[in-house]
Amino acid sequence: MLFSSLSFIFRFLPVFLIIYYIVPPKLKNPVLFLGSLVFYALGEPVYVFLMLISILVNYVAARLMKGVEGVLEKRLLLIFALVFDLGALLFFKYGAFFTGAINDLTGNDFFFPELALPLGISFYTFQILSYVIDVYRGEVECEENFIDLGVYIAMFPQLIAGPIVIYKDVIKNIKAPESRISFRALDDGLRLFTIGLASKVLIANRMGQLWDTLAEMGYANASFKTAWIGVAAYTLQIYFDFNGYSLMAIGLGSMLGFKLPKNFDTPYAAVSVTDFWKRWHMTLTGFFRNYLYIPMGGNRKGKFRMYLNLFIVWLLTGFWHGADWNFIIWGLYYFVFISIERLLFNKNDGLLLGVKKREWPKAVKIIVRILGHFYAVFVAAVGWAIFAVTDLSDLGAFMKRLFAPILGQPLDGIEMSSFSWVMYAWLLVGALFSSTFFSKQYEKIRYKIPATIILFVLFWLSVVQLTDSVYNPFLYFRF
Amino acid sequence: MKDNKVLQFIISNHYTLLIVLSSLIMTVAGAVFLPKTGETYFEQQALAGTAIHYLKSGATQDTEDDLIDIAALGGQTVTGDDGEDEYEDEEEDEDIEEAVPVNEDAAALKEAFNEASGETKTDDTSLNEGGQEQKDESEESSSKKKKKKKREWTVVDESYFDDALFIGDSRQQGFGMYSGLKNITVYAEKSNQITLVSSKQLVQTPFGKLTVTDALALNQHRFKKVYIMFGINEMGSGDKDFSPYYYNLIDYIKLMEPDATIYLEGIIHVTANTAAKRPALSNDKIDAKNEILKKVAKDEGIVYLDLNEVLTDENNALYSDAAADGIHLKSEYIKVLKEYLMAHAVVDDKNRSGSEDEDSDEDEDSDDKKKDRDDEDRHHDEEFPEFDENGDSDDEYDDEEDYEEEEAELKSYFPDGVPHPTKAEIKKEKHPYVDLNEAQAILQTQFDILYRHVDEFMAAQPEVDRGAVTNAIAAQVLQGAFTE
Repeated sequence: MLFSSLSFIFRFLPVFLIIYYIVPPKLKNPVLFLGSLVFYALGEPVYVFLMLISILVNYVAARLMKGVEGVLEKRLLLIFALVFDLGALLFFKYGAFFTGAINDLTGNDFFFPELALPLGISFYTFQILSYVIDVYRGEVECEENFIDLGVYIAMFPQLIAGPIVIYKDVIKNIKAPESRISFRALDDGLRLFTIGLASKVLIANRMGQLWDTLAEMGYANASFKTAWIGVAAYTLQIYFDFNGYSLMAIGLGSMLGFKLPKNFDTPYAAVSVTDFWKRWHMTLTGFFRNYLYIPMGGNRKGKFRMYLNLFIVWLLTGFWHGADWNFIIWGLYYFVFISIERLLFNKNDGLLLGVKKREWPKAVKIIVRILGHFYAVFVAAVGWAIFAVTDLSDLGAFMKRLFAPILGQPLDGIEMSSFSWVMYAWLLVGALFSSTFFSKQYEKIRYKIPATIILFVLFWLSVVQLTDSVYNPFLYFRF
Repeated sequence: MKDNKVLQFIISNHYTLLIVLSSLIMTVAGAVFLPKTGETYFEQQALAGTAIHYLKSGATQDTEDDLIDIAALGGQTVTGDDGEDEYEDEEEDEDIEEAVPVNEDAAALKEAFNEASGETKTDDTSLNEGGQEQKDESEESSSKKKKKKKREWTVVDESYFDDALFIGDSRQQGFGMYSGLKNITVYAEKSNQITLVSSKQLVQTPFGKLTVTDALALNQHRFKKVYIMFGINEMGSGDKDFSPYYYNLIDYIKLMEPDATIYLEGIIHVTANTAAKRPALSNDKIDAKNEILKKVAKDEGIVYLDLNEVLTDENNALYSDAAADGIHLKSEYIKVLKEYLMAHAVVDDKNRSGSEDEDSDEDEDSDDKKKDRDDEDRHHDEEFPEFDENGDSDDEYDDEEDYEEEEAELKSYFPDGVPHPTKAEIKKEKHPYVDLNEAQAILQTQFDILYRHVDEFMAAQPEVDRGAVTNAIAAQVLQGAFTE
């Protein structure tokens, strides 16, 4: 079930909230766990058991870890849990890809069944991993209550598409159900939910239509202008889609009495690629930093090791997003930019540090910021082109269209027939709403009547849009 | 003190309260107002459509016994073969009625149906297995039912589609955009469904947007081929049976475009990836829906096109590179679809390939008929100027004199003493629906009458099957038994 669907907003959510608010505190966790399982089962009637088993395995592993004394035993338990969790993820999500790759390499014809991807497996697997690793490291106590652990992993706001929540951050909340009910939090949550819903339904879906038109006509056939319009549309679509969904998740969490972490921080206002990744899908990069980069040594084991660690992290970040070669390329694409920026501008040992530290006149600083801004958005947009086109030959052809003037290719091709000034207006609206200017303005009026009216209008516009269309994709849904 | 708290609560949670309140209001309003609009009304229409369909395919309107037979029919499937005998009889009659009607409206409706049935005979002709002559078929019709010979297709070129109409959803719209066929007409839009053909306004005209049914009424006798593609947007409704809607639309098209060959396009599969992600769209489910469509096509005597023949891979799914989102075909594959349509046209074998001579319809033997039809053809373009709702036109037949001429001419064809068509009847025949609204009004009146009586009957005897009752009363309505 998607948050942006009428059956969720007007059936599941009201019913669940009423039950949740009525039951006494000690029943709130079981109700939440059960409700989340129902929510998941509605979308995945079979794989819900896979998730339950995963929770059970890790629950048992963590409790056993508490019991044993030796480091070796603890490590074995950890490895067992890791193998199970990652194994499930690799199997369901990457099985077909690996089989295909092996076939290509060895010329064999191994068969891998076409399995549907269990909903949210990429997200809940990472949450389980963070829990079991933290128990191993002694940073948290193992969870004795199965239901509470279940609540942490399966809580429906963040189950399907994040934000990726770390156990440490919510454990207090889970253990204190009596302090969760606050009508203020409910109201705040509903506001956030509305913003997320409108982002997704009103802006993202519309941008998505533009991109789909491009996909239909063929990436190789588009004109230079159309190709870039398509990329701009996709850039906005994926932001409003994913940010929208994250905001809905955080809003729902708030309604249930949980404070979920922020996942996006106006990423298109970034001034460098490094800055971009501090603002985009923050919980994912946080996860990779804490559970992969730092355990591997981070930047404390010498220059070569640092770049190697970065390489592995970005390879996996890209690969996490999809079981295809273009995602790997996408991850490594960012590795290149991040590495170069680090090499040049790192605050401790960047090569251009001297330049960076000098006192420049304000005008220069502003210009540099603006240039950095364009640079970051441009890199991100081209990155999205790589992200969006799965087939490598299509991708190559599309790149040729995007960079046609540089390559000396002709600029014409198929134009978007349905494109009009309305679409330009929407692109502009999207660009505006993704800026910090807008979010600052919103903060100013947040609790006042104008904001309420705007949100109210947005809510019903979104609902109307939902009733009208079958077209309601969610790009990150395949995770 | 207490007031303060309540007020505080309202102020700090005013957004939540606003949303909850407005949702309740909308839910109540929806429950109260919804049944009168859109889909439920069309469901009523669909029932009537099924009634009319059964009537045309097997029933006659002569005796009480037949009325009882109709009632007994309700729910049975009737193949197009049964209808052939009916049409055969019609063929001897002129397509201009001589009887003085009891009820003008009923007569108009009856004429329209007779026209449609007289001329859709050609559809059946083209459907004949083996392309045999239809006339001698009454003896063989029973054996034909058992044999299942393959239909013979005609291969045509792109000009075949110059007078083709494509109705449907976003996939049909995609066909319109990327097929490269310049002269086709497309009444299709994203999220269109078979249930919305009389309510969703999507056909652009200078006077605003029309629904598909209105546009068909407005542009009558304009298309020689109609391709219908729906299905993917209805998959979300699970097991709901949409065939009544198809029957209704097809019957309506037969009314509005009596010369047209109607093609019902099967629902195209989705890619394996998409089917895995969205179980509601599984290809098995699509196949099941297509079986229903095949049956509809057979009942209606129209052509079913199995598009999946050229778009499906060995796993019964759409080719994985055929659609970026797994559902909407890329332009290369739209071209494949176009090639398939060009290779699977159904043309009366009396005709040549169908690519030339668009105006010469598959024709009967009667010279009179041929002459009338040639007259019609000659005047069609002038008779139905585009988008003229009020019937204003520089149509030659607007003058009384023209009608008198025509009457005189027709009189000469009839032997002495035999009643011939009067001027009024010629007018009615040439301009059955001058006004866009009149068409709707006539059909509307009949449906209203029909349902009033059906409701009365059902209220008195609720245990009887509603479908059968509808069929029986529909027959009486057509006879003119009810005037209100």
